[in-house]
Amino acid sequence: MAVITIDGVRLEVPDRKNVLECALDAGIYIPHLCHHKDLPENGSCRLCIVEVEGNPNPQPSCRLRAESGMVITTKSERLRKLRELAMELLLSCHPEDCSTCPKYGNCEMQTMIQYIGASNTRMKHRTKGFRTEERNPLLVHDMNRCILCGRCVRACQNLRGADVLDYRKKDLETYIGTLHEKLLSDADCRFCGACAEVCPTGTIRYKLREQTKDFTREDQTVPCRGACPAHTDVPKYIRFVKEGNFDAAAAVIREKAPFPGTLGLICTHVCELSCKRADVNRAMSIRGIKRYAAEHDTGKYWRGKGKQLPDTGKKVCVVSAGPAGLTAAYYLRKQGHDVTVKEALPEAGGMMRYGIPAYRLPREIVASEVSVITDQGVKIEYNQRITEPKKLLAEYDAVLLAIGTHVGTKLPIQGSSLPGVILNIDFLRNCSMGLPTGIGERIIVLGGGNVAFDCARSAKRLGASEIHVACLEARDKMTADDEEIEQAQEEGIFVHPAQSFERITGTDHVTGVDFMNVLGFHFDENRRAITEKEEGSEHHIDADTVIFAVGQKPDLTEESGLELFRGAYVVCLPGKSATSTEGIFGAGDAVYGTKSVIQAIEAGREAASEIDRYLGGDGDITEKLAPEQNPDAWIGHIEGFGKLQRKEPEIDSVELRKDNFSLFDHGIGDCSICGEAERCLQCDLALRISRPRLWSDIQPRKEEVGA
Amino acid sequence: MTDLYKKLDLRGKSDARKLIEDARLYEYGVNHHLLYHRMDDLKKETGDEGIQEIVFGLNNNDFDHAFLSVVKANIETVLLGMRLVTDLADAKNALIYLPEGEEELGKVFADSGAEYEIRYGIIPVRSFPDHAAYHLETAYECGRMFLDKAAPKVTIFLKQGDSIGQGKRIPFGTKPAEAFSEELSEITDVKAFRFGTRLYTPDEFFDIEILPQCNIGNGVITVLTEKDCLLMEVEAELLKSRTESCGKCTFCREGLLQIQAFLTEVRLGKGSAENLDIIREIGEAMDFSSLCSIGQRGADFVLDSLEKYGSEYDAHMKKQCPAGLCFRKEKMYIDPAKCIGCGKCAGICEDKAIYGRPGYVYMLDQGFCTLCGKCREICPEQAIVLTEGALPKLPDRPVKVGKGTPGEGEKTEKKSKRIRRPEGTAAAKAAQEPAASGKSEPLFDLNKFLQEGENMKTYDTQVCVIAGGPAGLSAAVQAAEKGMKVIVIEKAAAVGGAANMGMGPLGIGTKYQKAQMVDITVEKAFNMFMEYTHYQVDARLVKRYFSQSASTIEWLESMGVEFEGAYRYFPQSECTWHIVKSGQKIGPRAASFMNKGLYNKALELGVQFLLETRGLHIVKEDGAVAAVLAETNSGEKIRVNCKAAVIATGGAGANPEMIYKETGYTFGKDMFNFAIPGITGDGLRMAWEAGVDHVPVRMEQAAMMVGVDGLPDSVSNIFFQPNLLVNAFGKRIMNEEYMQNTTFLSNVASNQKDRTTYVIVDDSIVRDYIRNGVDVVSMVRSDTDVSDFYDGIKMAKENNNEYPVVADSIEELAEKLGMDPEILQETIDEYNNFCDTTDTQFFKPGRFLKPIYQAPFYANKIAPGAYGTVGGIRINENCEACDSDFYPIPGLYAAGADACNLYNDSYMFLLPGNSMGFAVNTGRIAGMEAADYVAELEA
Repeated sequence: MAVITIDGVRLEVPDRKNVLECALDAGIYIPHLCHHKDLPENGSCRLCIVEVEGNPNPQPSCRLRAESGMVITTKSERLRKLRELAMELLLSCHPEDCSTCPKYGNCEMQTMIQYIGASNTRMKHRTKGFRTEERNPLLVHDMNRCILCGRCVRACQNLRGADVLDYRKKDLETYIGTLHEKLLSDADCRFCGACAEVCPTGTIRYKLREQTKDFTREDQTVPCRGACPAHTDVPKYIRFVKEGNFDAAAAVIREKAPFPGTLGLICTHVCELSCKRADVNRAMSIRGIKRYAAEHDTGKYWRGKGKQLPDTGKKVCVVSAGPAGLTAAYYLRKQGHDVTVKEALPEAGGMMRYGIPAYRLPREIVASEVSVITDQGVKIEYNQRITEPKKLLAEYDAVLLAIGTHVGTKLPIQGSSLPGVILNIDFLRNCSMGLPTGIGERIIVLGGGNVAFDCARSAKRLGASEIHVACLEARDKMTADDEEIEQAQEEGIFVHPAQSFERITGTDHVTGVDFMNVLGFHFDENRRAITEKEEGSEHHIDADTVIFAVGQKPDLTEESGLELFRGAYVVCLPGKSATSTEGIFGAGDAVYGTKSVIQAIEAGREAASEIDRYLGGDGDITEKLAPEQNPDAWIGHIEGFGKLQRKEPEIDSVELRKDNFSLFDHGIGDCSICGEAERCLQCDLALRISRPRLWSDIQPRKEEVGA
Repeated sequence: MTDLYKKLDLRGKSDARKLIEDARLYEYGVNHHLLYHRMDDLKKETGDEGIQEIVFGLNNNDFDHAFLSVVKANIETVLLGMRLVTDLADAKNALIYLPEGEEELGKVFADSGAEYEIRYGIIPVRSFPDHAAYHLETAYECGRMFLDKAAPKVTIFLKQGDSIGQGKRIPFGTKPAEAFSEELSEITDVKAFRFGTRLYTPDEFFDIEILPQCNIGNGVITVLTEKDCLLMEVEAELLKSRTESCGKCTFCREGLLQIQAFLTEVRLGKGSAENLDIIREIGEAMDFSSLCSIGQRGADFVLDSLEKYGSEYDAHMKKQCPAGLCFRKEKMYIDPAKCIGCGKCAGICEDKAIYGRPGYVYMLDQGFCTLCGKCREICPEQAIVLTEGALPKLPDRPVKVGKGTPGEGEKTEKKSKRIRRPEGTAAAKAAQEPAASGKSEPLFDLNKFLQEGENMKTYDTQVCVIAGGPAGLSAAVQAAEKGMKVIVIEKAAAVGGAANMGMGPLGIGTKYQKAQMVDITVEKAFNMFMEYTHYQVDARLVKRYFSQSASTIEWLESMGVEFEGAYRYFPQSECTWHIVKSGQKIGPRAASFMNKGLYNKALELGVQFLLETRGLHIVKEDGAVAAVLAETNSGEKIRVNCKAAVIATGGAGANPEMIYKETGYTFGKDMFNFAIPGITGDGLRMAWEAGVDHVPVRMEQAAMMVGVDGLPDSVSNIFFQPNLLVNAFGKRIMNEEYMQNTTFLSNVASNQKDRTTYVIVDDSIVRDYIRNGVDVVSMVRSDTDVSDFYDGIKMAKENNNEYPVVADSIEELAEKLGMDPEILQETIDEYNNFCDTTDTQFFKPGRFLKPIYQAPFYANKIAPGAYGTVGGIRINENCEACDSDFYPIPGLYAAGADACNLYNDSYMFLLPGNSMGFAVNTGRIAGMEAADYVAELEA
C-alpha cells in the first residue's frame, strides 16, 4: 500500500496504482479522454494532467504511479489553462456542429467540452475531409470526428489482440484505420465492437445501435439473446461449445428451456435472423450449435442439480402436455407445487409429438426430454380430454390451459366438404400415431407454411406418387423455411406459389383443384384476403386428395365456460397469463395462435412464474446451472475471419430419405462444430467493457458542495 | 562476455563499471544523465521484472542523421559499446533502431551481432515503457572509451546550407566554436547558430562549452546567415517535425500544426502580436506535453527565435523580410483609365491572375500573379503597370470601360419566359408518395410496461422533471429553490440537451443592454412580437416570458454563469442574444456552460438526477398527476411518484414520422433539420396521452445548406453570402440581403418548386471574398477568412458529393441543376444588369450586387431546415398544460420546445436567443408554479 495525498485528501492505495484511477475511485474527478480503465495508457490527450509536489512540470496522472508520500494537486490555474489549451487543440480539427452527430447527448467528448469549457474559436480550425466509411458491415468510421485518442487502437490491439486498427498517416494527417485502407473484412476484423464501445466521440459507431433506438443497450449489443423469446444466453453457450465443454453449453440452454434437444432440431431460430454475423457474411448456425451441445450433453451440470423448493401443498393442474404446458409444469414443480398434467392424447409432447414429423424430430428425443420433467415429480395423466376446465378448480388451486391449436381449419370454398379433403392436423396426427391417414396417390396441399411442407413431405414418405403444394403467397413471401421448400422440391414435390384456390372439383370425391394465378393480395379489416388475379389464368391440377394446411385453432368451444376470442382462443388479462376466471390461466398457442416451440416455452415460463406468485410464491423460477464463464477478452487475430463460411449440416441424399421417417439431417459434424462456434463475433464481450466515467457521474464530495 | 572483458584487459563487469563511473560517461540522448546513474534508475523503475531490452537509436527529432556516418564508419566500436551497456545494465537483450532506408546497415548489424534484433524506423520511445532507450552516440563513445582507454568526447558536425561536413570529436570543457574556427572564419554574414534543437546568437554561441549538462541534441551546428529568413527556417523545421510525428500526442500533432499556421500568417504579413502569444503559449506547453523528443523539443527553435530574434517577426508583421525573401516589392496592376476591355491580357495569362469580361475593366489578382510580364507585352494600350510603390485605388469589381463608375444599363423590362410543366412527367411525379406517410405513432403500451416492470423500482418526490435540457434544468433548480424535492429524468448520459450546441438565451432590458446603450424594452419587444405573429399567440405568456427574461439572466449569474454581453445574430436583428462566456472567444457550444452551472446548482440543492433514463408515461389519479413512469437504458422500469411533473423533452426533431405527420415535411427530402439523437417527441406523446390539447407542431425553420457537411466552413460561408438566389426554374426569388434571416430563407425555400433554392456565385466573387473577406458575417459564421474554399470544392469532388455543383458555363450549370438554360441565362443577364445599375426587381443594395460572369460557376442547394420542432402542448402563461377546453391538468406543466407555440408559423429570428430564452424562462415558470401547486396541495 502507498499513502498519497490528492487535493488534500489522504488516500491509501495499492502501490504503483495509476493515480488517475486512484482519484476517480475516491470520487475526485480528473478530466480524461485517452484514458480508459480497461486499456493500457497512452498519455497523449493531456487532459488528466496534475501537479506533483517536487516536480516543476505537470504530468499526466494516467501514467503516474502511486508512491508513498506523493502530494498531488488536480486543480490549479495553471492546470486549468493547460487543459483548456489541450482541449482547444483537440477541437481545432473536430467538426463544430455536434447536432448532426448521432452520438449527441451520449458523447464523452461533448461532456468534456462542457466540463473543461474550451471552444475552438482561438485556433485555426480545419476540416480533415475524410470520406465517412460506411461500406463496412456493423461499423461506421467517420474519421473527421476522430481526436486520435487511440482508445480504439488499444482496444483492438491490446485488449482484443485483433490487430486491425492502427494509427496511419495520409499526407500530414494522422488517422485511424486498417493497413492500406482495406475494408474491415479484408483486414480480418473480428467485428467485436470494442472499438465502437470505447470511442469517446462519434467516430467509430455501431450501425445497429442507430437503427434500433428503442431496444435496450444490452439487446442492441447482443441481438441474438434479445431476439430469443426465452432470452437464452446464446454467446455464452457458443463459447462453451468452442471450448469443447458441451455439458456446460447444454446447461446454459437448460437454464431457460427444458427442451434443448428438440430446439436443436426444430427451433425457428429467430436468434439467427438477428445475428450480427449475418451482416458480415452469413449468420451463425446457432441452432446447429445448440443441437450439437444437446447431443453431447451428459447432464453433468444440471441433472439432479437444479432448484427444487420444498413442497407447498398447493395443487396445480396443467391441461395438455405440449411445450408450454410441460414447461410450466416443470417449473411449477420446482417451485414446490404438486403438478398434474392432463393430456388428451396417449403420449406427451403436443405438437412436438403429433405435429412435427418424425423425420424432423425423432420421438425418442421428445420422450427423453419429457422424462426429465416427470423425473422432477410432474405427474402426467394420458387420454384425459378436458372440456370444462372450471370444474378442475374443485380439486386444484390453479389450472393452466395450454392446449395448443389442434384443430385444423378449412377455407370456405366450393368442394371443401368432399370426401378426400382432409385437414393438416388430422393427417399429421394419424401419421404420427401410425393410423390410416386416408390419403390417395395424388395429393394437393393448400398452404405455404412449414406445416404444409410437413404434410407434403410426410405424404411423400407414406408413398403418394404425385404431390403439389400451392399457396396464395408469392415464393419470397412464403412463411415456410427456405430449406424446407428446397428439400421438398428435391424430393420431387411440386411447389406452386401465388395461386388462388378457386374450387375443389369433383362430385362424390375430390378430383382436383382449380387455381388462378395471383398478382398480389392484401388483407382487409375483417382479415379476409383480397386478391388480384391474372385474367385468363385458370388452370386445374388433378388430385384425389386435398390437404388443407391453412392454419389451426384451439380445440375449445363455448361450453368451456371461459371467455374466448374469435370463437376458440383463450382470453388472458392484458399482459398476463391469468384469465378473467379466477384461478384459471392460459399459455401458448391457445392464447396467441400458432407460433413456435421456443415461444411456447417462454409462455410456459411466464405462466409458471405468475401462477407461483398466485399461489404465494415469489415467482422467481430462474436457476443457475451452467458454471461461471470468464470469457477471454483477448480474442486474437484470425486470418480470413470475416470470410469464414457457415458450416452446413450433413443431409442424407434424396434417395436415402424420401421413403422413410428417419432423421435425415445429421447436423454439423464433429470436425466442423468448433469451427462454426469460432465464427461467433462474441458481441457480449462489448458489454464487459467498462463504461466511461463522466464528470456528471462523479458527484462532488459533500465538503466541496458546501464550500 | 567474460572473454570480451578479458580481451579488453578487464577482470570483469565491476571493472568495466568502475571505468564508466570514473570517466563520468554521459548518456547523450535527451536525458543528460550520467550513464551509470541512468542504468541504476531504470533498474529501480522496472523492479523485479528487470530491463527487457535496451534500445539504441537516434533521437526521434534528429532529422539530419549526421551521426549515422560515424556509426557506419565504426560498426565494431558501436557494437562493442552496445554490448557493454547492455551487460552492465543487466538487460536481457539489445535492439537497434535505424532510420528508414538504412536496411543495408541494419543487415550489417544483424550479421555482426547475432544477439541483437535489428528493426528500423524512428524510435517511438513511448512504445517501450519497459525498455531503456539510449542514443547511438552513447554506444559509440562507450566503445571508443574502452578501446582508447581515454576520456570520452562528443562528435559535432557543422551544417551550412544543405551540406553537413565531417564530424569532429571534441573533448569536454572545450568550445565547438574554436574547433570549427577555420570553417567559421570563411562565413562573414552569420546571423545565428542552431545547435541541437536550440538557437543561439553568435555571441552566445562563441561562449558555449561542451559540458555534460549542455544539450547537444543531434550534434549538428547549423549556421544561419543574413541571407536566411529565420521564419522560413523555423517553418521548414516545423514541417519536418510534423512529417516525422507519429500523430499520437495532441500537442505534437495539433500544436505543431497550429504553431506553423500562426507563424505562416506572420511570415506572410498577415499576423499580429496575438499570433505570437498563441505560438508562445502552445510552444511552452509542448516541452512537457508529449512523449518523445519530436513533440518535446519541437517548439524549441520557434521559441528561441521569438525570444532572440523578435525583430524578424516584427518586421514581417510590417510586411518586411530582413532576408528579402518573403515579400516582393514589385506589383502589377491594370490602370482603369487606360484599359479598353479587350481581354487579350486575360487570354494570355497562364497564372489565371487576370479575369473580367469584354467591355469592362479587367482585374488583376495579386495573389496569383507571378510578374511574368506577358500581359504587358500584349496589352495594346500599355494599361498594365509594374510598380514598386503602393497600388493606386482600384475598382473592387469590373466597371464599364471608360466610365469608372457603374451607370447606364438597359431600362426596358423584358417579358419573362413562361414556365410549363415538361410533358410526360406529371403522372410519375404525382405517384411518388412520401416514404413516411401512413405510419402511425406507436403508442405507449402501459400494460406491457406494468407487466415487465412488476417489481419496478419506485422513487418518491414532489416534482418530477422529464428531461434535463435548459428548460428542465431551470424548472428543477427553480422548484428546488422553492424547497421542493425534485427528481430529473434524462434520457442521455449527460444533461444539457440540444442547448449544449447553442450559445445563449434571450434577455430583454438586461444590465448588458443598458451598459451597451441598446434600445430594447419589454414594450418594444412585445409589440414587435405580437405584430410579427398577427396576434395569433398567447399574449399573456409572451408578456410574462419577456418581463422575466432580464431577471433570469441575473438568476443564471447567481449560479456562476457568466455572459459575454448582448448580441445580434445578424445585422437586422435586435440585440437580445446573451451569449454565455466560455473563457474563450464567442463560439458554438457556449451554452453548455450555462447547463453546467444549472446542473451544479441543482446538485447543490439536492436535486436527484436519473441519467440514461427515458420518461414514458404520466400516471394520473383522480385527474391529477400522480407519477411518471420511466425506463433506464438497460430496460429497467422505474416509477417516480410525484405531485407535479414538468415535461421538457425538447420536441421531436429526431422523429421523422412525427415530423411528417405533424408538419407535412419529409426529413431528408424537403426538410433538413437538426435531428439531435434522443429528441423524439416523448414529451409530446406523453402529454397528449395524458389528455393535453394537441396544438399544431411547427418546424423551427432555419434554412439548411445541403452538401457542406464535412467541408471547410468557408464553403457554406461563401454560399450564404447575399448573391444570386434562384429557384428550381432558374428564376430569382428574393432580395438576397434577407438570406441572413435564416427563417425567412427557409420559408422562401419551402414555397418553391421541390422546396429547393440554389445560390450561385462565380469565380470572380469567390476570389473577391478570398482576397477581401466576405460581405456579411453573423455570430454563427463569424470568420471572414474563406481562403480554403477551393480545398473544400476539391474535397467535395473527391468524395463524390452531389453538391456544390461546379460548371464551366452557365449552360452546363443549368443542366447540372436541372434548369432550362435559357431561363437561367436570362436571369443572370438581368441580374448582371442590376449590378451595373440598381436592383429594380427586389431592391437589394448595390454593395451586395456582384455580377456573375467568370467561370467556373458554383452553385449550392439551400433547402428548408430547422433546429427541431416547436410546440404541440397547449400551455397557459403559468406553463400549466391544458386540455382542449383550456383547463389545466392538475400537476402537469410543460416548458421549452415541447410547449413553444409562440411563433405561430415562423420562428421569430429578429429577437435572437428566443428558443433558449423561452426554454429557460418557461422552465423557471413551470418550476415556480409546480412548487406553489405542490405546497398548496400539501398545506
